[in-house]
Amino acid sequence: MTLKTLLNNILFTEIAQGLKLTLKHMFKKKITVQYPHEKLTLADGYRGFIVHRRYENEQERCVGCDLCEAICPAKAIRVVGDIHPEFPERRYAKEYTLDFTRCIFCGFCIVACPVNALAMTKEFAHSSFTREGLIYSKDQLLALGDKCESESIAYLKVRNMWGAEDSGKEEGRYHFPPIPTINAGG
Amino acid sequence: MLNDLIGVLIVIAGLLFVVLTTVAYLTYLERKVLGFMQDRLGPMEVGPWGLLQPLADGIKLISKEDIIPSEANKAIFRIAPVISLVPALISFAVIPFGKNSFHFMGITTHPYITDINIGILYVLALSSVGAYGILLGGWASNSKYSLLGALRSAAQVISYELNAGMAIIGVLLLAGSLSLVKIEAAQSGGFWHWYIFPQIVAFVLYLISGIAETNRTPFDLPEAESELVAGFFTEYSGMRFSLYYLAEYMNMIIVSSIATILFLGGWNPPLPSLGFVPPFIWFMLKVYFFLFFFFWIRATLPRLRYDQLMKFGWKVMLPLSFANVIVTALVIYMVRR
Ligand code: SF4
Ligand code: SF4
Repeated sequence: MTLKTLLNNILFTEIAQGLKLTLKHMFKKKITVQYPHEKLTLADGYRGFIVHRRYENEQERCVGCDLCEAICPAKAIRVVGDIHPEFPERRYAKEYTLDFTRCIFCGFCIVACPVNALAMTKEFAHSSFTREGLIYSKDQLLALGDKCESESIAYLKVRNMWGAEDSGKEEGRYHFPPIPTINAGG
Repeated sequence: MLNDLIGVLIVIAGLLFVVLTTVAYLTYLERKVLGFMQDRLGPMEVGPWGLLQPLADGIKLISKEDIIPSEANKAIFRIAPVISLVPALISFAVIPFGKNSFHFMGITTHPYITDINIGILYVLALSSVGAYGILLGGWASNSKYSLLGALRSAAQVISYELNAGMAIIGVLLLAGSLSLVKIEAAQSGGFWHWYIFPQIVAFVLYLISGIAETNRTPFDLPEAESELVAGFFTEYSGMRFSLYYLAEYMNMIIVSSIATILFLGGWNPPLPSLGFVPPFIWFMLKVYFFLFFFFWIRATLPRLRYDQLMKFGWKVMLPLSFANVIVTALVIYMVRR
């Protein structure tokens, strides 16, 4: 032990340095976000709750094609597709449930959907006292989608899935099959 | 006679109130200080700036279920937290927190509950009794973690109490008394009379031993949460758990008070011209400085390893404190002759 280390040991130099550092941090600006009172702005590509979307004429987009169910790595989606009872040329999802207790928010289902019926939003604070409360039916997803229309469009734009929507084409990936121009549900 | 009794009862009630509120708000203060030192805000939700947090915590702890492990030794398990708390509480009896006695309608209240001539010895003895609470609680829980925590605590308290006692002897030699009131009075008249200057080694030794005795970081091995879950009170819950907690914080206040009285002149103002500030305020200021120092150390230092702790206690602290006593005694003998 040299004289210097001995002196350092006697005078607690290292501890004093540590104390100085902690004291300095005591007067620094705090980085805590007081969550329910102040919120961070989320990015447009934020992977929040998934919603179902509608066309401009209020008709729901989902055609019950099962692609989202097929790609979902967490098996969170269940689709029962069927012929639409009123419009025999059109298919729809007779039952659609999304289990948010299983969903890992990977966003694959949105990429898989051929008609942009799905999108993610900035909603995340949906807790429930029961597990069933987090298994969303199609109606719930549609309601949430109506609430977060602009967020879902922003998500699709940021994720490069909006291009063909603006192209005005009535066929192809984003309009399948051509929709009857009525206002009633789908 | 009756008047004396009433005076003492008033002081006891006042002291109890002050100590218990201080303990409650120490938990708040600790969380705030720790939070601020880690760039966080600490409790903010209950009341403005979280000021009602201790109240909410108290309600929570009281309303929690009281679980006693089925394999535990029930009687000892129940009594152990009390054994830990009561000595801490009655140690306050000899702490002189002010200078003046008040006379009011024939009732005299002193700034202490009692001034016994072995004051400091009384405090040391009681802190040893408090260690029994920890030991018995750990043993009676019948759990590995509790037992290990209790064993560590016993070893630690024994080694560091020795150092604390030896460190104090230097001050006692200077003051020539064991009474805390007399020790305080002997340091009056400016900060250059405080015993921190002739006894700086003893001061550092006492502070380190004090932290170790109250089981605070970096000496919190008995409750090392990363190895022993919660150490000796792993199995405790609800009110009994909070009794241990209260005892720990009360011990912190006692160690701070003793350090204030022995080394920083107690209620004496640092300069005689600052005498217009009530002595009680000076006392509180110094005690709170030490309490803040406890938190500060906790925010800064990691926990020691067990063998380091023992080595440091027996091979460094003990020889130093012996040397301090011998040197102090020699110097005093030379000067006084
Ligand atoms: S985000 Fe991923 S896990 Fe969730 S439903 Fe879609 S595909 Fe399944
Ligand atoms: S992929 Fe799209 S259209 Fe197909 S079932 Fe899923 S949501 Fe409906």
